[in-house]
Amino acid sequence: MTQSGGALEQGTRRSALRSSSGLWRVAPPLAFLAIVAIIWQLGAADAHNILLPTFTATVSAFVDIVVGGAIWEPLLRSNLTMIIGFVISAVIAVPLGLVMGRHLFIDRAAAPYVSLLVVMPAAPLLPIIVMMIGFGLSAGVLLVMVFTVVYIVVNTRAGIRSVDPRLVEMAHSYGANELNLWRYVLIPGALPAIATGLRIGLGRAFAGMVLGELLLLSSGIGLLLLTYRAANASDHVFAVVVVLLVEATLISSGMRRLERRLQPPSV
Amino acid sequence: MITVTGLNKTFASKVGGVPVLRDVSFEVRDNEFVSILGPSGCGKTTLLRILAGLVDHDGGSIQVEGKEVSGPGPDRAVVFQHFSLLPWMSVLDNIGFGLRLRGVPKAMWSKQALQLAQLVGLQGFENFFPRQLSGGMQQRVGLARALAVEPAILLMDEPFAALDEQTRLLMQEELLRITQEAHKTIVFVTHSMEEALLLSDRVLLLTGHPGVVQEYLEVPFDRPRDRSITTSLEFQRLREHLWEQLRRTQTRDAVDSSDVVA
Repeated sequence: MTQSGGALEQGTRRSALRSSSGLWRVAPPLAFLAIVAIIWQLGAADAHNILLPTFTATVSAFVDIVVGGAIWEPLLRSNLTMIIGFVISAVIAVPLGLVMGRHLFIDRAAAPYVSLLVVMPAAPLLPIIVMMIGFGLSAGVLLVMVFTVVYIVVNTRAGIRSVDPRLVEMAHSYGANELNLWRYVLIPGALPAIATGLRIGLGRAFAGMVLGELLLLSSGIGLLLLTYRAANASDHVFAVVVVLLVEATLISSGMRRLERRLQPPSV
Repeated sequence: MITVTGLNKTFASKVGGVPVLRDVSFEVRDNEFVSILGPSGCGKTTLLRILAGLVDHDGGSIQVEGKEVSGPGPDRAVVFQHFSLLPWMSVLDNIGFGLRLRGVPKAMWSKQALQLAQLVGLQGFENFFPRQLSGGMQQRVGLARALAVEPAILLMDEPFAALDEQTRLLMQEELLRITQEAHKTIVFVTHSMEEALLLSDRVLLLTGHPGVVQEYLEVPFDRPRDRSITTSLEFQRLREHLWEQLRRTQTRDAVDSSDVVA
């Protein structure tokens, strides 16, 4: 057991850290971005290559598609695929991970396939999915699920496994039944790991969405990228990538915040 | 009244059964404070867990108020060595946990939990979380949680062993005070001779592998007690006696195992 020694001292140290943390977190990456932008601008201007837009051209293309609105409909469509796929994944994967963590028999039965899915690259499954259900929304959803499910399962299972068996025994000694155990001990104990699984899963869902659309299912963002490429509008291709980066960053920071909120309260 | 008769327990392991308790018999009277004292590995914690109904026994019988123990029951509550508090629940929710499991409505269990927080000296900390508390305070929560379900029997598994020395002494005095107010039958596992003598009416001395009952010692001090008895001649004499018993069996064990090695 960790002892909470010197609470006051810890408090002041933490608040000192917090007051400087805003600037500390933002300044270094911004400085790095500025350096990259300068090198990019100078290098691209020097190269005179139609396939390599300058930094400023990319920025103006970014403004064009965001303000002009070309990005929104494809982005919405792609995100719909991702969200449906992610939600279905979570609905399947969290309960599966929970029972795998608790019941040895089910774990034994499912574990080989779960570990197979972890090591297997998802891309080769694309042609199979298309062969089976074509190019529609459901194909995109299925692809997202292939990318996502296993990571949520693995983390949820690990979360249940990590619950201190002494707490389970304590609950038993006070007469807890299986339902009580899940409600008061197992699920609260596994919640941080489940949140981690969902965060990683959503990142994977995003990757699956983009990859699927680019490689096979020409729709949404993928279709937009292909269209700009066909028109040799490399600045717009870059701008779309920037949009995707922004979204990925927002998703990841939002999920981290959620994950922190689900951590058990501590000193 | 707890009656244990001819209790045997063997743990299964890869190399075969490991006997931990052999032919253990004793009884605990109502409102009596009994310590189970012994060196580590003598099966004292296993014995307590069997009493709690958390572990099955292989032979013999355990009866509480004439009924055979076959699992955890509302007549017994356990205070654990490592506190076993739920980290995601506040002090108040942890204290009320047992009542909540019994379907007591929230208004009632939280009122009772508040009173118990007061009894164990945690007033003002009701909304804290376990990690914000020191070890001693965490064990106060553990004790309050056990008292909350109003068990006839309190089973305490080396409850102060994970605490530092000063906190342990304080908690022993707290326990003396609390048990004076709430009449309970208490079975208290410890490896400390002083702790056993200070707190108990009788000390059950377990020794050896597997554990057998070496002696069931009466501790003749009146209650209410305080730490001043520990300086008395009688206390020193009993302590010396217990030590003599422990030393004899442990040297014997050491000789036994060296024989095995040779």
